[in-house]
Amino acid sequence: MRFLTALVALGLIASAPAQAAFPEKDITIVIPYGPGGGFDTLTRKLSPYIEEYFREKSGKSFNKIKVVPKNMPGASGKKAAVYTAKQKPNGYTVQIFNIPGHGLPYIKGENPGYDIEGYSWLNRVGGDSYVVVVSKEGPYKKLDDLVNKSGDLKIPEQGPGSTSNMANRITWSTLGKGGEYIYGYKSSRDYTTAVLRGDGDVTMLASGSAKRYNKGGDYNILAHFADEVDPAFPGAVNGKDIGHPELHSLGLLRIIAGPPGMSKEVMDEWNNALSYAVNHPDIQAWSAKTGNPVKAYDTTAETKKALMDTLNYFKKFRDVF
Amino acid sequence: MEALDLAVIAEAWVRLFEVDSLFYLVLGTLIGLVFGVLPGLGGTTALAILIPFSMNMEPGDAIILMAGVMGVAPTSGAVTAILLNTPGTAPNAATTLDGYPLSQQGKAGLAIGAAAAASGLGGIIGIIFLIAMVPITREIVLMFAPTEFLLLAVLGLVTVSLSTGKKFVKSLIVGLFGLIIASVGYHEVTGEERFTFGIDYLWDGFKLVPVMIGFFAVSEMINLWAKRGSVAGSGEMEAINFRQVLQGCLEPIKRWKVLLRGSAIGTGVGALPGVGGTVAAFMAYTIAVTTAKPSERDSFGKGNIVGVIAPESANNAKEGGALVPTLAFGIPGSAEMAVFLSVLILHGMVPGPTIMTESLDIIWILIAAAAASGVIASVITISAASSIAKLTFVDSRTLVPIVLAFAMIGSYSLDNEIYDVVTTLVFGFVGFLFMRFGFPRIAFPLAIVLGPLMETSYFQTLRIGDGTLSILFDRPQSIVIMLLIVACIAYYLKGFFSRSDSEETPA
Repeated sequence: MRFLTALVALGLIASAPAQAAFPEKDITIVIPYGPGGGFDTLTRKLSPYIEEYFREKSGKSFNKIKVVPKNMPGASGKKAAVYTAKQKPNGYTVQIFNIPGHGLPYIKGENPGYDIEGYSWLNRVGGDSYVVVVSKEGPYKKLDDLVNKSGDLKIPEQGPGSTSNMANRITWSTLGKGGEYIYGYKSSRDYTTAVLRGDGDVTMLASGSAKRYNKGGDYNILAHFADEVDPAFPGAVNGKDIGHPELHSLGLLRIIAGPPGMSKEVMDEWNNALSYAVNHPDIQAWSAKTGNPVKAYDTTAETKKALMDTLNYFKKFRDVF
Repeated sequence: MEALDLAVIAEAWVRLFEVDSLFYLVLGTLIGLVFGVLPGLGGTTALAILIPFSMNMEPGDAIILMAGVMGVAPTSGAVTAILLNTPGTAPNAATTLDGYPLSQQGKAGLAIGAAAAASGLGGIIGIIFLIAMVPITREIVLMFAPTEFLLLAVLGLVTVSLSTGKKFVKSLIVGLFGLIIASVGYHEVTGEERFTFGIDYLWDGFKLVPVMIGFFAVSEMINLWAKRGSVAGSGEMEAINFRQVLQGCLEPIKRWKVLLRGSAIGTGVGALPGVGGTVAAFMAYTIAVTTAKPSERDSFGKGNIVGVIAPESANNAKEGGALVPTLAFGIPGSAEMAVFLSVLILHGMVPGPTIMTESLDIIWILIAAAAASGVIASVITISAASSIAKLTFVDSRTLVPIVLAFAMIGSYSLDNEIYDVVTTLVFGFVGFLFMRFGFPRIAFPLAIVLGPLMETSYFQTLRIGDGTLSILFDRPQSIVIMLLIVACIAYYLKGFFSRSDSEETPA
């Protein structure tokens, strides 16, 4: 009996530091796209601060644990999502997700080889709302001008699978306006420039990007689908103003998640690390300067709820994609 | 702040000659040289690897380090193109056309000297063009819509097909094969998968780098293995000395018109996002062939030094051009620029119309560092050329396994993906078969790069033009490019017929 007690005690001693000491080795954050994009930039910017949190928490200034961003581009993010789902749920491999992008198969009812609901959702590191953008030189001065245009609107876009395309389709179908989509532009910057050049009438993009691209004052922002219109977009209306407050649910989320089945302790630890990094004054200053909105939730439960709310909102419009 | 503020420009150059800056510049240049020489690893990979290190650096130092890498990779990529028929980076593929035959004749030193000097000078001319374009960057970017991209893609394919002369039909077949390969994968316009056969790897299509390594490096090694001996089978090793290299360096100066034209083409094409260095290099090559004296035209493809100078000057000058859309709109002009863009953003700079006023000092540091790194790279390449060139005398039994190992490692290290290695091997055999049956391979890289651009621009042009292509005739810039296409064909045909006449007419 005494032997058994000793064994149990030994087991407790052995397991206790293992839990308290997370992380004990280097951590990988999978980026589902190549180097150079918004997801890549944000992850690389946050990594040193996540490292800093874990170092301070360990109390050892010489703690050399690294947070390593790893690009895994392929199949529009699907390759990385499948990879992450197959990793051990020990907190050492997590991924930055694009929502609703990674949720598109869920929204359409397809099977991409991963279950979007099953991941261990940790915290949001970025999120944004959508705006409607036209060229300042063009004929459209308010949202009604677009709605009242005879014929369909010409809308430059990335491609059928892009998140902004989903936002465009939901918006224009809600407003009862047809759209002719010009696909094939490489990035939001590219298709916004296409509007300026006159390739099309209008497009939509995240508000942070709109602020960045409009520094030279080339564009008019006619609508901002958020509860409060950003002061950077004077004259823009929101969904409430036009009788469609539901358009405020058109969100864009960047969430970090781990493989399905992570323990609550490790998830909470991650949640704290991400909140620390996101709220760090350096990151907030960078965010304000570059127009990359970064903001965390309080709990992992809140993160999961925001995720499902967004996906289920998009799901209602699956027929327009 | 005026874009061309002399005080800011002077400050940037003074800054560049501080000890710290020089250290980062030389470090970046050396890293770029190594990555450029290894097939598959180009400037893009080098920049991506350096991002984490640059984050803790002061923005100016980070930009200098990155500019060092960017200014160099195309220069060193020419070395393997010339010595082993293996372009270090995709744009160097055009250099193989005359560079490799020169190596086979034991004149590798001459070719490397000419390539290095043309690269260095081309880079500087590109920067000068960039400086001239700074005040009008916005207009340049807005001038080119999908209609112009469609026509430019056609122009690229036409010029490369014409450059193969009598093998025009075989070249067209190779081009068509390239277009088919380029169409594999998810199609971003229709949202459909094409020729993927349910294989996830093919969803993104064939990646350019593993395909290129296979098509050029592996096929060449198979060929060399089959024929035994060394690359420079017919040359004399004693002939490769520093004198030969120096002689090569003087060639671009002697042929300054070729150099200037190549650099102008490079800068112009480089400024167009998505078109890039490969097209610039091939276009410069083709225009050099078509504008050469009829008596000289036949020597292209057999070791004409002009065939090295034209693509190399264009290839390096395009970096200056590619900075135009990157800085002015945040639209990267090339893959390298996409990574560089994220470095700017990580350091809190926002590319776009206002960068010229908000971060003008950094822009000038970037321009100064890019120009300086090109010169440093050329000097290093020139001084090492006579030693490196001796590689062409190494026996195939030693050379082939080493190059193949580097090729496989380069292919795998791109994304740590074993299927990339399989792709490299498959295209190695395909390339070898093309060589074996006398098909000129140069249309292939261009078709792969331009295929998607042409198809996407075609769809976009139709959509913009309400289902017709009539808008091609509405825009002056489109009409100019169409005239260029017609001129290229006419010029070539004129040369072709006059040559046939002179051949038929007894002397």
